Formats: sequence, C-alpha cells, structure tokens
Amino acid sequence: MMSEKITTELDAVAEELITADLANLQDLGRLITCFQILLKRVADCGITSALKPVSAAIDLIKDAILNESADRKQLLNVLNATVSCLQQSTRSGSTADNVKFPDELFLKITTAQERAGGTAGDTASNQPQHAQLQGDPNPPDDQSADRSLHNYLLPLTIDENMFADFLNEQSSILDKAEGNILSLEKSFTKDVLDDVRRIFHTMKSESAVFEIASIALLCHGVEDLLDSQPAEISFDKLLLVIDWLKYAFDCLKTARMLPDVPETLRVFINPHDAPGGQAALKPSPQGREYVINPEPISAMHSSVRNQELSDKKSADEPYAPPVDASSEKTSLPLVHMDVDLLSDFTAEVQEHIDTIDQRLLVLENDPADQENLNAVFRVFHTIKGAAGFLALDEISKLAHMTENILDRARKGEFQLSGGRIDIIFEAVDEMKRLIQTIHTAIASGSSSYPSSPTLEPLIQRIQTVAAGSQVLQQAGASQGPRRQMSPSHQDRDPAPEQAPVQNEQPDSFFSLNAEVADLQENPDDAMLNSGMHVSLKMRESIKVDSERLDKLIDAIGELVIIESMIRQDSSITSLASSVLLQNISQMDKITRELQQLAMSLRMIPVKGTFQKMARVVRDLAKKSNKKIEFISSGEDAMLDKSVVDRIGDPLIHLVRNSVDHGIEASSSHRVAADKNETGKIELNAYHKGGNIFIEVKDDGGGLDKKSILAKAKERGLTREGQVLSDREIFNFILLPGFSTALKLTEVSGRGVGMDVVKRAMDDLRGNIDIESEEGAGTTFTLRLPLTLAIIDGMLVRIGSERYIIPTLSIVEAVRPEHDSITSLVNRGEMITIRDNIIPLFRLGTLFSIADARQDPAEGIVIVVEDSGKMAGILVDELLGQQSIVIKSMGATMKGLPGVSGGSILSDGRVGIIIDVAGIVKLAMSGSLAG
Amino acid sequence: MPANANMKILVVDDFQTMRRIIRNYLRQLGFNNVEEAEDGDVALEKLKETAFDFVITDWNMPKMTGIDLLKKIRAADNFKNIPVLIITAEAEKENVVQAAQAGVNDYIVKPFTPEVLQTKIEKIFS
Repeated sequence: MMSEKITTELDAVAEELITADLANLQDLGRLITCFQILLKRVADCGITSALKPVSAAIDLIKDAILNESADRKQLLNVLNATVSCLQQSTRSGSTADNVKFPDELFLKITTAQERAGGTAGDTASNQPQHAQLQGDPNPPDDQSADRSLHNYLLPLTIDENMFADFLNEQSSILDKAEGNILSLEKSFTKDVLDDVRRIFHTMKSESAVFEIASIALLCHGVEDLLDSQPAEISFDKLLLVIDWLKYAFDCLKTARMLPDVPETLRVFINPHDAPGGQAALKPSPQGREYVINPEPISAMHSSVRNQELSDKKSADEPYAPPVDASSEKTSLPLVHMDVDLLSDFTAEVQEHIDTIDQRLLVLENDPADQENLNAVFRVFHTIKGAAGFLALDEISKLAHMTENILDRARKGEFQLSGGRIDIIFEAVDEMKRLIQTIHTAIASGSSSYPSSPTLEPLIQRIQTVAAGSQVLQQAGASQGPRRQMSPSHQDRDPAPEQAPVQNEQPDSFFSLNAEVADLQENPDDAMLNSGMHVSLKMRESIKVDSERLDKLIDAIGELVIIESMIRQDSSITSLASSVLLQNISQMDKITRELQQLAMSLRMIPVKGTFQKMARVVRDLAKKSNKKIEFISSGEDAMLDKSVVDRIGDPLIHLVRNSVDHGIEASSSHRVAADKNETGKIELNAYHKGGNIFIEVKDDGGGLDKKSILAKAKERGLTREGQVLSDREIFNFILLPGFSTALKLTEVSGRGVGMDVVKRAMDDLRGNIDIESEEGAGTTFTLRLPLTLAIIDGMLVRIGSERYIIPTLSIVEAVRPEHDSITSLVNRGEMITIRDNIIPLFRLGTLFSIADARQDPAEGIVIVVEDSGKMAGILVDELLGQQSIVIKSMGATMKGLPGVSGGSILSDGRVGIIIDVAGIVKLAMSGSLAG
Repeated sequence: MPANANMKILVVDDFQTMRRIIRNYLRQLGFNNVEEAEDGDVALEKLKETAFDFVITDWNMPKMTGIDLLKKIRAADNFKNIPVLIITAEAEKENVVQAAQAGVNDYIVKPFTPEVLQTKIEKIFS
C-alpha cells in the first residue's frame, strides 16, 4: 500500500544518484528536488521516523551547494546509504524504526534542532544512532601516536572568527573544569559539581552548533553521568576526558582535524552501556536530551554575541582597508587605479543616491512601503557589491552596515522609523560625502583620498541602532510565543516624539536610550532589560591580538621618552613660563598614567599556570604513591603575558622536584619526623616592590646540605675550609650538570634540571632563591619582573658616560676604604666588604672610558649578585633609580660582553644596560684583572 | 562544449559599473565577445534575437531578479540550455539552493577576482 508509492520515489532518487555528478550544481539542484518529493511522500505515508533523516539529507545537499569544498564523495555515500536504508525498510514492510541511518544524518538532525532552539522532538530517529555509534567499525586505539584524525569542515553558516573565538575560549574553560574536578576530588560539593556539569553542558551545546558531533556526544554523556550518578564518577576518567578535549580542540585549532574519541572514553557516549544497554535505547529523559535546550539567557547571550561577531566580521574583514595599520591613517590609497571606471562608478552612485532621498521621505511617512524600502536597500546593496571590487573600503563598509539595517526592516524585524530612518538619512549624506571625496581625488589626479572623520562615529551609531533592535528581537524570541505573537511589543517604535531630543544630543546611544527608557516602563520586561545588559556588557570586551597591543605599548614607550626629553629640555625649562610648566607637568602625569595603563593591558593572572601545577602534583603524587596536598594562593596576581607564558616550564620543574624529591618517599618517615602523614606543597604568588614573587614550598625533607657540599668540593667549586652560607651551598644545585651528578649518586638531594630553571629565570630577568631546612622542607622563591619591556634600573655615571645597572641584581652600594682593596695575584683586584672578599672591577676599564676616576675611594662600589656570586663594580657616581624602557640594540651590537641592551634616557641620549651575569662571569674568570 | 575565446557572453546587471567590471574581467580572461543588458527584459530580448553561449547575471535586480531571469531562460524554447552563472552577495548565498533547483550552472560570490571567474567558467564549460 503505502510502501508502493514510496518505492517509486525511492527508485527515482536512487537512479538520480547513479547519474548525478555531485560537483555539478545543476545535478545537486535536481537531487534536492527529488529528495523533496520523497520527503513529501514520506510525510503522506506517515512514516514519521524517516522524516528527519530525509530532511537531514536535503540539508546535507544544501550544504554541498553552498560549500564548494564539502566532501562530495562522502555526501554521495551518505545519500546512497540513506536511500538504501529506506528501501530496505519499505521492502521489509516495517516502519524504518530499526533502520540504521548514516551518522552524518544524525549529526545534521542534532545541529538543526540545536539551532531551532531545542524543541524536544521524537527521539525515534535518534535511537538507531546510539547503536551505530556504539558499533563503530574502526575503534581507534587509545593514547597511541597515530590516533586517527578526520578533517573537520566548518559549517557554512558559521564564520571563521566565531570558530576561532570558540576554540580560543575552550582551553581556559577546560582549565577551569580541570580545576573544579580537582577540587571535587578533594571535597565533594554540589556547587562545584554543578559548575562542572554546566561547563560540559555549554561545551556540548556549542560543539553541536559547530557540528562537532563527537565532542557534543562525549560532553553529553559526561553531563548525563554527572547528573544521574555523581557518586559513581571516576575522577581519573573525567580528567582523561578533559585531556582528550584539550587535545581535540588543539587539533581543531592547529590542523582543523578532529581525533576519534578514544575507546576508554567511549563509555561516556552511552553511559548506560554495558548492562542497561537496551534501556538506553528507550526514550529516557536523559536519552531525549540530545535535543539540547540551552537556557534562555545563554541562548540570548550567545546569539547577541554571534550577531556581534558576524557583524564585526562582515563589517571589518572582507572589506578591511588594505592599508598598513602603521601607515598614515588619514589617507587611503585608490587601489583600483582604473580612473575611468572609478569616475563612472562615482557618477553612477551619485545618480542612485540622489533618488534615495525622495524614497526615504516617502518611507518616513509610510514605513511599510515595501517598494521604496526595497529600492533603497538595493541601492546600498549594489553600491556595496561594486565598491568591493574597486577596493573602496569606506564606501563598502558604510553600504554594508546600512544595507544590514534596511534588510532587517525589509524582513519585518522592525519598522524604519524614528531613530532608524534618521540614521539612514545620515548614511545617505555620508555616502554622498564619500563619493564626493573620491570624485575630487580622481579629478585632481591624486592616487589617494582622505579618509572620512565622520564615518567611524556614524558606523558606531548604526551599530548601536542595530544592536538596540537586535536585543529587542532576541529578548522577544527568548520570551517565547507570547512575545512573538504580540507585534505591538515587537514593533515598538523608538518613540518618534523623542526625535527632536535625539537630534539635539550627539550621543551615539540616543536610540538605545530611548528604548531603555521605553523598556523600563514595563517592569515585567525584566528579561528584556537583562538582554540589554548582555548587549552592553558584550561591547565592553574586545579581543585584540597581542601584536597590535605590543605596537601600542611600544608607541607609548616612545611617547614616554620624548615626553621626558621635552620636559627636561633646557630651552623649555629656561622659559620659566609657569603655565607652560604646569601644562608640561600635567602632560607628564598623563603620560605616566598612559604607560601604566598600557602595561596593564598585557597583564594576565597566573591562575591558569597555577591550575596546571595542581594537575601535575595530583598526577605525580598518584604515580609515586605519595599523599600530597596542594595549596595555592595569590592566583589572581597579574603578570605580563609573555612572562606567564614562560614560567610554566620552570614551575613544572620545581613542582615536580618537590613531589619527587622534596616530599619523603614514605609516609612513615613523615610520621616518624612528627609531621602530618600527608605532604604539603604550596604555591604562592604575591607582589612586592614592583616584582612578583612565586614560591614553591614543600614540607619535605629539605636539601641535603652535606651531600651538596661534598659534591661541590669534588667538582672543585669550593675549597676545603671555605666558609659558605647556606644560600651559597644551595645555589650550587643551580649549576649545569651539578644536579644530574647528584641524582646519579642517588643522594637524596634534588634539583633535576635546576639549571634549566635558573636559565629560564635569567631569560626572564628574574632570579631564584632557595631556602631549606633539613627535615622541615624547602622553599624556592622566584622573583620575576612584572613585565619584560621595562626594568627598574640604577643610572650610574663613569666619567662622562652613563650606564644602567638593573636594580634587581644590586645588593648594595658602598664607598670603599683604601685599605679594603687588595690586589691578588692572578685574580686581579678584590674588595673586602664585611669580611667577604669579592672581585672588584672597573667599568671604566672594560668600556675604555678615559675620564673615569682611578681612585676607588672617590667612587662608589656597587655590589651585584648573580647566581649567588657577588662582584663589585666601580663607578664614579650614582645618578638615581628609574624605570627603563628596554630597546633592542640591533644585530650588530649583539653579544657584546657586559652589555644586555640599551635604553633612551630622558635627555635623549642612549644609555647602555649592563649585563650583570656577564660581568660577574668575567670578573670570576679574572680576565678583567687590570 | 569547451569554453572558447569567441563565445558570445551576455552580462546582465542593473548597475553599469558592475557590468563594466565583469566585462573587464572577461577581457582579461580573453573573452572579447561580450554584450550587456541592464535588466532581465532587455536580456531576454537579446537572447531571442541572437544566439549567446553564456549568460552571467546578477541576482539582485529591480523588475526581474536573476532567478526569475534564470527560470524564464530555462522555460524558453530555443535557448533553454544556455549555461547561466549567477552572481550573488555573501548574505544572499542561501538563495543559491533555490537557483540550483531552478537549473543554474554555477554561482559566484561578490566581490570576486578574475581568477575565480575563470575557474567558474572552466568548470561550467568542462
């Protein structure tokens, strides 16, 4: 009966599939028509279970039409499989319920429902999918290097920016989840559990939007498990999930590849797997949950954001001016130098624009006039299209933004009245100006034209107007049918009677303000208001790539220098005009603020890094069978991003050492030493004096001073009888090669690769300090500069030259007595400071400064320290301490002994920054003896 | 039917600048036998008068849209098999499905380069 009707259609489709060339648009078009007929038949015959697969198939063909890079072969396979599934089920007379449709269809269904806002449909067509996924023919081997990767194609409806943002966000989200899981393991609280579940829920929803089925399913499974059986959670497994997700997002980010879910994690995909396998196929509340119902707020939130993103993309990206950001902004090149074409274009646009005014006036009186609305829309649309070809970016952008508003008015999202029609008028005027500017430029034979100062503000206003209505619309949608069915709310006009007020105030938020006021009159419209906040809040955060930030910081650095040059210029100070001086000091203040602000832009909290350490401790402790409690504090301390990025590895080294060597191997040792059975590792970060300190502290056995000393003697690093401070002894472990020797002899020391840590600290211009008490534990303290762009430096004078010594390395400055200086054979000059004999050398000699003072007693000795070794540097005078913006010295000056960089001093002269480590090394080798 | 340099091409767009741009592109690609039409009616007239090998039409035009023109071409007696390339804007891309069902040979998204146009022509006439 019914199957007969359908068989004919199925055969027709099957035949079409055999002859079709899926790369051919015409064939694809025919296929869609075939499938649409099939869909109608399926519906007529009441085979509801096949409705979704067939419409999904249609969607897949549509995707192929819209996306030329879509995999045609795969599509053909899926379509063929779909048809044969249907054929099979009609032949057997059943209702296709037990038919296994291809995975891709299922994915399509999920994401389509996801987009539709998650109305719970019948799950019948989803169920076979479970079976399909479970029985995946190629189970990938877990953890192996050649995990199979699949190409991932971005769904066409989603733009690249959105996807990039999504991927970028995931790592911090996963870090957060990881932190939560670790704390759950420690103490189980419902709040944290909810947090974790929410994270998986959001990730599931978002992944589904991006059509990443494996991740969506995995997250779904985890969410399900957290929901139903939180008691049965294996934290190890959860952490594995996190690891795999990190890896998967990494693959997506770097290679657009998607790895298979490893076998070990597949249990999550259907948590009711083993015994209750059948039960899972029944539509249980959880099973139904594939139809994901995002909370209204988050839906609104993300739609607003998506809208913003796509606006941003379409407004900036395809039409982004091809001008170098650093080049002069006020003038844009005429890239397309076909002068004839350009002048024809301007003339034609002029013509079209002239007709718009008339049409807009009609529209103002009758906003529903579709004909005029369409005509105005088309003009902007056409201008945008042509301007795109001619690389006239300003015109293109303006036309695009205006077209957007008009298009939405056309679609009935709002009426073109009040502030909206005003903004269109403004856009027309601006367009006229832009065209005129280009026309003038061409006429004068110029190859560039000045950019419009009024364009950006206008675009912003257009965006505001667009955003205002966007919120209205979004909020309306999330309010459900009631709101959608009340057009009086939707079409609420932003108060025409307020129009004159609007014109008076140049405030770009005029339209929005009107709407806010409007909304607040309705107290039950709380949702609308919160939507507004979302929109406003979204505007506050902008993603900027770090390179641009660096450029800004560089420029501000230059500004600071030039500002202080002006301030100290003798011709200015000699003018002694009090007003001028006052203004200059005001400028000075602002410049400093600007500099601080700029620096703070790069600052990020160390939290992420600390969280990683929590994981390291946990895993290592498990591995080595030690009970260790990890405590961290001060995670909110901010550091320059480049510093944060580079302290990860050294910290891992330190933390690993603390677990491996710091905490005693067996808890009985600890108990015997009257300590808590559970070891403790603490990670603290805090600010002190313009630096950040990071402490890695354990309450383990402490460093074995004796073995270290013995080793040092063996290696000739110290002599018998030499008195060394604890600090000096501990510092030996920072020497390259020292630690491995310790390890080889199995002495209970530590410091595997401590030289690596030391080197990293040197690179970051920080240092490391070790405190340890035998039996009580060890503390490593890292001192780091807040930023790498600026150092705190001591400005010193030698003769007529000035140098900068990083304050971080300075221990003290003393005026030496004559008799404290001695000359030792082969070791050059030495100075005795409080019973310590340290090498002394004269910068004047190293840099051949002729007018340097020769008598040390007339100068100052600056005692510097590096790696626990001290040296004295003789200078003529201390000039003061200041923040120094570091400038690279360029390739020719690289590698000069004793010099690490340069800076421009406030009088505009170059100051050389002394490389203390290099000088100490030179001093120790005695080669400076002179 | 391979593309040859002498084939007669009809460019349909209501915007003169766009017609010129496309004509320039085609010239760069070696096609010099190009005629223009400013709307669908003019295009149909021309198609009736002379035999064209290829039609490039804009989507968004007043009076007759690109898809209506396409449908009329496909419904015509003596030129229904003429290859048609439709020009669309990114935002209108969704319409392409409709065009595909109406029998368009290919589509191209504004703004495009001569190279993209060339690939499309090569694909249509392969």
